[in-house]
Amino acid sequence: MRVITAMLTCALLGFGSCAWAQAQDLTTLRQAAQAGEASAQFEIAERLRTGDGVLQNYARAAEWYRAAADQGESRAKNALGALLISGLGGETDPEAGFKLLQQAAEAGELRHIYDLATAFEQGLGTPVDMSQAVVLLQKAAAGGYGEAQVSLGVIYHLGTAGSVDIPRAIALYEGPAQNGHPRALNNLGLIYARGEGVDQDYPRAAQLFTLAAERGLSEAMKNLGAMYENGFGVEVNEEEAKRLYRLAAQSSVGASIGARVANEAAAITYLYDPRLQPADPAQAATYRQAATSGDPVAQFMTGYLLASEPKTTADYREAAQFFAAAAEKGLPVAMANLGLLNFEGKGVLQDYVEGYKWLTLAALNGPAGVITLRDALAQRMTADQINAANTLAEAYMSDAR
Amino acid sequence: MDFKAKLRPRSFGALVLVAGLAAPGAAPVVAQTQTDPAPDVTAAMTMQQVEAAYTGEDFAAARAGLLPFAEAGDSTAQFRLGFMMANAMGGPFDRAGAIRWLEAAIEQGYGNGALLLARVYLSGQPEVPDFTRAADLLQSEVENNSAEAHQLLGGLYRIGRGVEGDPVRAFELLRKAAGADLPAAQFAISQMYSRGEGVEADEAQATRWLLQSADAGYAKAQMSLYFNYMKGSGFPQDTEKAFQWLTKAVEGGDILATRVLGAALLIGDGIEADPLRGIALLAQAAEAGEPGAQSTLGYAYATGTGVAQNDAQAAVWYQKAADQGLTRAADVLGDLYLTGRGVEIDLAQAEHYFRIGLSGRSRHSASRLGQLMAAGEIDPDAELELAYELVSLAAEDGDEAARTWVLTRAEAGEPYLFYRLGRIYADGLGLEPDLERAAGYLKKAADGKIGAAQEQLSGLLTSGTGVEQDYIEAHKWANIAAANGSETGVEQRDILANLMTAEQIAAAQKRARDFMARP
Repeated sequence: MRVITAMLTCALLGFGSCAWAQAQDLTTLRQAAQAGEASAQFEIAERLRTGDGVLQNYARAAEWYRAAADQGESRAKNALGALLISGLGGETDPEAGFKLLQQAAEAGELRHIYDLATAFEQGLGTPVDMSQAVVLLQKAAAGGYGEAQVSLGVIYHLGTAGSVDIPRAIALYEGPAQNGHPRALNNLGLIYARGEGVDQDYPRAAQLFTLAAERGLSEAMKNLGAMYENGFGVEVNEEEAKRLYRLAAQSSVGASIGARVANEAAAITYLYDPRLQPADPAQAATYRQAATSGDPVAQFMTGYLLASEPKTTADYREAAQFFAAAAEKGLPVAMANLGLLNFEGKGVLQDYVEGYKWLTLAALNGPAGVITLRDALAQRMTADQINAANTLAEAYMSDAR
Repeated sequence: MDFKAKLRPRSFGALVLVAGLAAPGAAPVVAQTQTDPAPDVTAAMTMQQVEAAYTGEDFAAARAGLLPFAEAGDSTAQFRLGFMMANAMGGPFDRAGAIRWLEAAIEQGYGNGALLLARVYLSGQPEVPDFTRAADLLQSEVENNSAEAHQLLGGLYRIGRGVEGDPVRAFELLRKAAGADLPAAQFAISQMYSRGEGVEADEAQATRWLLQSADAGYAKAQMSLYFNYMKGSGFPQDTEKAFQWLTKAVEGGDILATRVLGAALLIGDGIEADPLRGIALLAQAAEAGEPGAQSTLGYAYATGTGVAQNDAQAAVWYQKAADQGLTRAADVLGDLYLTGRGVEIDLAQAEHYFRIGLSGRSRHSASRLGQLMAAGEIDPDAELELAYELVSLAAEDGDEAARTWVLTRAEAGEPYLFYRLGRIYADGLGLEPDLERAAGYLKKAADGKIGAAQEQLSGLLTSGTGVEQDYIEAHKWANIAAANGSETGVEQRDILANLMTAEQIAAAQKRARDFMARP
């Protein structure tokens, strides 16, 4: 018998929900930014941070955030504060970052208040101060900010700021849970599974875990797996339990690419550009011939076929060579796959810096999903690695010109 | 190949042993009435004189006398000449000549040469057998209901030579030949039933045909029964029955059976020991050239088993076997030359025989050659790659001079040898394990870009064996090995990654990148 894995998710410091820039012409935006318009400066910075239509670069994003922040733009202060705390963009100064978070929060936006609370809770640029964190979270929670309600719920649930107060935790979880907030669902599920201050209710717990798992939360998948393994609130189902554990390992954001790959069912899917004709394995010889005479699309297709169904480790090496050749000719989808191989360390040295560089370059004109993939893979990287990759990508672009 | 057939000297009967395919089956050929117009030849002998010579067993004269008639296009003479050449009568076996004259006779419509010609084509020594033509000839003979043609063609369908391989057709043909009491075909049918080859597997049928073939005196079948009864496969284990069949094969003159029985009697393996009879049988097989028997006889003399101990005689018999390429005999004989037992010490001879052993993948011979190289008796630099391997093996067997040689060469700039030394000290090959020393050597080999050493070192660094535990270095080496195609490297690296912080991984990746950038 396996004891249910007690797992409570922690609030992570995020960059706040990113307000996507309006489809504004980049040149117009740049002109306005250079003319000193704070909101334009902020929009440009946002695009640089995410790599939306421009080459992603934290250092350049930080410059524009600072310009806007200096003009009092509170969103820019919040974003710059986050960069200074994490070290992304090259400058690490948690104290200055904390001050910026504080200034941003003063303008009263709930998610900025929440970010500041997180800084107090985790001691980012300031000593840990749970009472300050609770005050701020209460403010944001009262305003209806779901993340704050959940985080405050966790504090009462675990008693990290004083005594455990399950009824309050439940009250705080319930609102976000009804809106489908996965952490709220999972944590509520744990309370019923353990019978913490309530009557133990396995069926209800299983139901809540199921909802959270459906929303992609890996902890909920593990918890639900344990329910199936032990037959708590559901019929015992070893197969389903195994499937859920596997799924959890795959979708865990913190899991290294390596661990995901080591997990049998978690084979990487290589990216394909839907604008191209599908690669036909029957045509492999034709592609290879064209690839050898230097056709970048054929090089990509050959690499894709090799990497998708490798027979030996040598196939990965060859795939990497073909992707590299097509990447050098500027084919974004080849860059993306070369980046993936760098992350996996298949056929090439595992090197997140190189991988991030290629995914950044690919994102500029690449197929959909590259940015999401890049950010998921970046979870295992240090700020220094990402900054180095930004520098390499920029150098590559200026060499290419 | 021995073409001495059991001839019926008073008629032109055809009987040839065909390489690996057929057992002798008597198929006398009745000479056809000559219907061709009398050939216009001026021959040294008349046909009557030729026939008289043949009947009088003066085969050489008959063979010579037939030639002019054959050359003049007499199809009977062509057949008879081809027959004598194929059967090595009145002269040596002449494959090309036999083919020439038999083909000529058949082309003229002579009816009896096809099966014989097919056998000649299949004989193919030293030439490559012409399977395609043989198959053609056999197809027509099968239509004529020749049992032996069924057997031979079935064999070709079975191995897919000259025809497209077809187990079902092979079974069909061989089954007919087996039904006509050809023991080789019966043995083949037994094998096919046993393996489900061209027919549904059926152990009862396999046994039935095996027994028929063995009863008919087919040595392979008898030996097969011996092995089956010994192992108890297909039959209940029954040593007594096993030896009954073995004895039958020996009585039939099978040389392999003679050796097997001799060896069993010599040491009493499965049968009551009878060293004298064992030696007699071994000597018989050894004299007939069977290398296993020669080697066992050598062993008998070397140890004084069943004979008076005699090193010189031991060496003689080991040498006969080793000269035929028998690895285990070469191993022993090399040692005899090395130590001067039964022969004068002769390092060149020792080397010669150890090399025979080496070509048979003998670890013993390989290690001995390594010792000779480390001692400078053989020049290692003439074949350096081989020397590295062989001397390393000698070192693994505990030879100190070899170990010193390996270290000297490693330090002179051969990182692969540091890897071998690392393995020796890590696994305690020929000495007490010394993990610190092992880790040191593996580090040098890893720095020298030896992939296997990088893998191993990564393992030691992960567990902290013989070296301080260091995940960053371990990750670095696993990553480098992985990039060079090592599956183990990939696994090791990804396991480590789960135990490491992002900062540690970043540091490890940077070190790996820097290492790879080195010239």
